[in-house]
Amino acid sequence: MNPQSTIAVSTRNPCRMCTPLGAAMVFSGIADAVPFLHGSQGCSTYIRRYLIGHFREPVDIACSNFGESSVIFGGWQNLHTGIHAVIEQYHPRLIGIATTCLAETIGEDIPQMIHRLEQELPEDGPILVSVSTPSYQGSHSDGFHRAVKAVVEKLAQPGPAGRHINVFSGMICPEDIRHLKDIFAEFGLQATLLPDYSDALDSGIWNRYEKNIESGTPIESIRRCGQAQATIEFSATGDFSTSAGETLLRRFGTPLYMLPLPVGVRQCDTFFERLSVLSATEIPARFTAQRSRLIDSYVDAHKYVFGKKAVLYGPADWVAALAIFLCEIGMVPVLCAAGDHKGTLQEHLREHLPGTMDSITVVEDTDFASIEQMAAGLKPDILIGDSNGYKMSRNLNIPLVRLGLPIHDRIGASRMTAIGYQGTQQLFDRIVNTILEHQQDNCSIGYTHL
Amino acid sequence: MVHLARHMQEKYGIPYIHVSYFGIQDMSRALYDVAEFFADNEVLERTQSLVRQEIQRVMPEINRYRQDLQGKKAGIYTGGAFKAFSLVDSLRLLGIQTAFVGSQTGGPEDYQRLEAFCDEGTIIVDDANIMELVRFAQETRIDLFIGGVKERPVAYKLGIGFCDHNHERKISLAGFEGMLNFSREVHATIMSPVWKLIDSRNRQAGRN
Repeated sequence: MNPQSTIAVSTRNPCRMCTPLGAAMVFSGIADAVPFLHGSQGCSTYIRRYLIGHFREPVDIACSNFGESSVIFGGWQNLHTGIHAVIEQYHPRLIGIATTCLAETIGEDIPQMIHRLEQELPEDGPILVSVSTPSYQGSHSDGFHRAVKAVVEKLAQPGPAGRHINVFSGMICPEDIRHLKDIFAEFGLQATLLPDYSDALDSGIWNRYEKNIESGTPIESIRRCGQAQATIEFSATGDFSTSAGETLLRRFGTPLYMLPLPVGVRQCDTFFERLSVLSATEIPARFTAQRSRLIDSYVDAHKYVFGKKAVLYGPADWVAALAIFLCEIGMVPVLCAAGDHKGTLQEHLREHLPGTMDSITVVEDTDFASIEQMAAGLKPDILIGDSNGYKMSRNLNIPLVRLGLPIHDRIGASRMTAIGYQGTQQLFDRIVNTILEHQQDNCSIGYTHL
Repeated sequence: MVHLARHMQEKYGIPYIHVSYFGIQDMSRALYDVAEFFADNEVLERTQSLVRQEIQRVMPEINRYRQDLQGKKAGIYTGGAFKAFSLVDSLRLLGIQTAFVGSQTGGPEDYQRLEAFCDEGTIIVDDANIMELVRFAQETRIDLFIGGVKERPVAYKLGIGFCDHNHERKISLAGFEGMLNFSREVHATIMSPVWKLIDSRNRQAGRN
């Protein structure tokens, strides 16, 4: 909202999704865990609908199914019944309980309820983790980070120091998760990626219908997070309140490296150099070759993208990483619009993009109505963000490169990579080709050799 | 083209004027030459006003690019020598110095004229092979290479900006509008930040 405006304007077409959506993704990416929403059924239906539209996979999210009486008398009974039903059906080792607006508004005392449940459950019953995720506080991205932090707070144990690395990547696509695992393996580093929904939300064809809760980060590995050599957390905005790495640093003294999302050559260099130090090995030749080919492609395409204006929208961490990547290839991120609120995006970009801030507008906590209004005046060449920006793309006749979540109007959201030299290569190619395609389609001659 | 014009003159008595449409100087000269040929005051006046108008239109943008490009260095290698003159001139307008210039098919006369036309120290190259061009490019530490499309990957591998100047182009370089296109492209290729990512061992020193 414009602070100078005297008229209060409501949010119109939010540039973020519900907070518990992120939490549900995290719980989906833990082995033998079931996500559970404390609130009304519509909340879980909406989230399942979006996740299924994006991942095109079965998504199970349990719910305590609030009715009128739960709103008046509290949701304990529903939670109690729901948890027992989930245990009976899924036999999970962990249930991740995320709250909804309704539960938070009526003031449900979740920690007390969990305490009661834990006392009546058998010794070998599931671990109950709760995270406070009303959607009027934060975004899906915040819900994601808060859930990772809640899991780590509940499970991490002290113990003998190991050589393994904790990796809290934030919300990235399954193919990027697989690539990250590959990178760590190539460096000879044992990594605990939390969460890891690379199978749960991107699996192959099944021979029979399954509950499919087995895949994901093993609970034992999460317990060992406190004994790790270091934590790597992808966050440009340095928000400690939602940082699981901060928990481990504070409790166990685990060194924390908060790195920008490794998108683009320089931000990848920061990441790969860190891995080189942690593993005490040279960066494997495979990655230096990928880096070199990426730069070679930057050169091949540099004239097509130079000075081209982009509007970026999405979670602040992604907007920050993309803006720095775009400047590296000579594009101008004229509008950097975060749907969530970190309060540090402007400062982060100023620090990393000195001298270019005059041509960049940074907004946080914004919505699509405002983004479209600003974008219309800025006359960008391209939009980069999730599918919710399609209407703007259509209204303004500006091509959209889909990245982030949700992507529900294209196939392959799980494979739209951006991480590492390899992921950046795919993103870079998509950006350049989208620009070329738009130019070619709008040219009266229809040249081919471009 | 000159060959064709000469034949048409010999065979049909159609006169011809030798002009270049590349660069502001040469484009203006071409228009004046045509106007003067007809020796009609009205045509001449209209030409003057057109040239004035066009120069006023394109110069502010060109001046903006010159601020970034002042002192940069370029190498030119074209098919015929004639194009090279206009290119040296156009680069000059952008504040870019021509470090070396050459062509595949130029004759001794062309090179004498080129030498007189270029700044002192400019290397004049005749019918060079690719390895010689690479050596000149590296020794003179150029920021821009102008040549045919087949030279493009060579320039890129060396970390040098590139502008092609041949029949295959999709964005025109002729006329006043063409000079704007040329300036934009030269500015884009020289000022692109991608060069900063190239290891200085691959690049010529002093290009950061």
